Amino acid sequence: MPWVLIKNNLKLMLKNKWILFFMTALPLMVMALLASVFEDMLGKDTAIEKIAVGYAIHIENEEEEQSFREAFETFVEGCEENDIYLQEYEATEYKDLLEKKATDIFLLVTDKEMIIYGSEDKKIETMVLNSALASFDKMIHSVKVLKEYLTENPEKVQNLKETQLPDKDYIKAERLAVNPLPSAMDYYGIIEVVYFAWAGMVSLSVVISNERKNKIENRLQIAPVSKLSLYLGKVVPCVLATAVELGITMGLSIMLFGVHWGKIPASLGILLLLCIASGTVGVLLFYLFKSVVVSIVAGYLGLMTIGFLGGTFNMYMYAYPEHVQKLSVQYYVNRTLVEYSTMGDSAYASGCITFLTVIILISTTLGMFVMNKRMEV
Amino acid sequence: MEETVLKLQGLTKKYDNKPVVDHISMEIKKGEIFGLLGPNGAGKSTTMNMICALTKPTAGSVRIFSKEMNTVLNTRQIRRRIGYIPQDIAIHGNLKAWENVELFTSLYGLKGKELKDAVGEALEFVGLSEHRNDYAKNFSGGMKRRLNIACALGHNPELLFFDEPTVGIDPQSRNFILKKIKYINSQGATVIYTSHYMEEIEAICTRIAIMDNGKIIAVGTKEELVSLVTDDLSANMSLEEVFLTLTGKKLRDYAEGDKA
Repeated sequence: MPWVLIKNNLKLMLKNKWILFFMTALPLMVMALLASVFEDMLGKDTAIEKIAVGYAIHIENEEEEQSFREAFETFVEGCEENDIYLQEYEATEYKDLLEKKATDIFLLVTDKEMIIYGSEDKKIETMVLNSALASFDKMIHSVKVLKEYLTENPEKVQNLKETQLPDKDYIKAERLAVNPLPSAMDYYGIIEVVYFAWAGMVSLSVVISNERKNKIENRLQIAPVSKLSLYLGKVVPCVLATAVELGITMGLSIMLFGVHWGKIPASLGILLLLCIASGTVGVLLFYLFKSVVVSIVAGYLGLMTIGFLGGTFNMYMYAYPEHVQKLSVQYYVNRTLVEYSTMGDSAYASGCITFLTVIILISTTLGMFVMNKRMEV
Repeated sequence: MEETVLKLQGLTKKYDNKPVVDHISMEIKKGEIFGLLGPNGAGKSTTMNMICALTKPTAGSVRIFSKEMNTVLNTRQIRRRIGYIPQDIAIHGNLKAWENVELFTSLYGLKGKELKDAVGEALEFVGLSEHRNDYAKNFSGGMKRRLNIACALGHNPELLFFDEPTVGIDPQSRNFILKKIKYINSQGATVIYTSHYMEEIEAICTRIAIMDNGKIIAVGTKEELVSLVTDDLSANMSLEEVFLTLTGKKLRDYAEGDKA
């Protein structure tokens, strides 16, 4: 292993202030920006802690209204136990209440129907209340039928009084940790580190542009070192520089923004593989093209492509079918790390490791070949 | 009989089927300072590149220390014994002087204390010990040239290639470098030296080859070259006059490769 070459190339990479800024401060800025911009959009799908419902009862028949109100009171109590809070308002107030977000949704009960008013982003709350009301409505209807029956059969009333009511804990709700969604900060905190891991190849530009500008490549070519040593002398420092820079970014993201990384050793392992892939792909690109600028642009375009293909987690942000998404390594990397964060494990991990390993092997082989060809005069 | 350090036989390089170096054959003995002189586009740099295995010859052979660089083992063995000082200042500006020398010397297999000592000696040899912790980008042109040389000396090469090592530097630095080259040679190293400066070639080279149009048109000591152009040895012809007589006074505006 050409340790002195690695050490000095690493020094060159880490000494460059612009790259240090690009790799540490910029991801943090992007994280914060995207998290705040997309917070509401992601928040739409996150767990709803409570639902505030305004309601008004407008039944013409007073006796019926009274009867309904008595039953509805039980419904209100039951809802409260499940974090759905109902508060009565005047019927005419509903638009105003919804516009001012004083309530999530509004229920209007009339003789003929129950109408739930809500904005487009309250679909889930509407569905939940709808479901609860459907059960309530069935219950009311069942009570009506029972009442009519008991009126006709009074001897059955005594039996009814002796019947024990079911335990109110008979119906329960449990929260399952199935596909929990991350917060916007966690999500963007993780994927921005992933994107900037790929951008780590830009560290190589410092060494390679200097070697080309000063014809240092000739000096290296004449030296009695193997092509593998020269290759490792570039890849290893790039990997180390990227790992150091991302380590700083990760640490700061946790301290400043509370980004939650799950299954830390495994996450770090994935990120290290990513840094290696970035280094090997970087060397390939820098030797595939004569111009350092063209190599960087090509790397950037490649990164945007794999990002758009499969990098985004939320389904509604892209329209590619899943088999196309799976062509992107980002599909696996992002999902693995986000699921480590939200669930502590991920079914995408093996696909992620395989995909990255294949990238490393192919880009190493091609990179060495291209570097060898390029360094010949 | 002095050992042959470098032997070229029929060395040829063609670009687009046109020869830039055309069937060059010559031998360089151990202990010589051999000058390679020629106008722009003569083929000097291409010849140097082929000798150093930076570029593959189209035809012919290069034998260094009686070996051809045709196997990986041979190539590495030969390269450990040669040093190359390029015309361009091939150093990292953002590394310190000692870091540059350490980096390039380490490529020749030196490690640990041996490497550290070699770095110190090389910097002292070129007069940069006091500036070992300064960044190369802050050096003057002369200092950069000296550092450029130090980076090739650390591993004590037996055969050194100097490709126009004094371009763009002040006379004091040039004088210093020439003295050092003579000293290295006196310690047993063989030197191949290219330059446009006739007085340099005249001052230090024991034998000179004049190249033009990819061919060696004359080889010998200065006296032997003078005798090629005049019978009057007392005329005290300068090397420049010999050179211009042999190559002509027409301007050469093209670089190698362009000519092909």
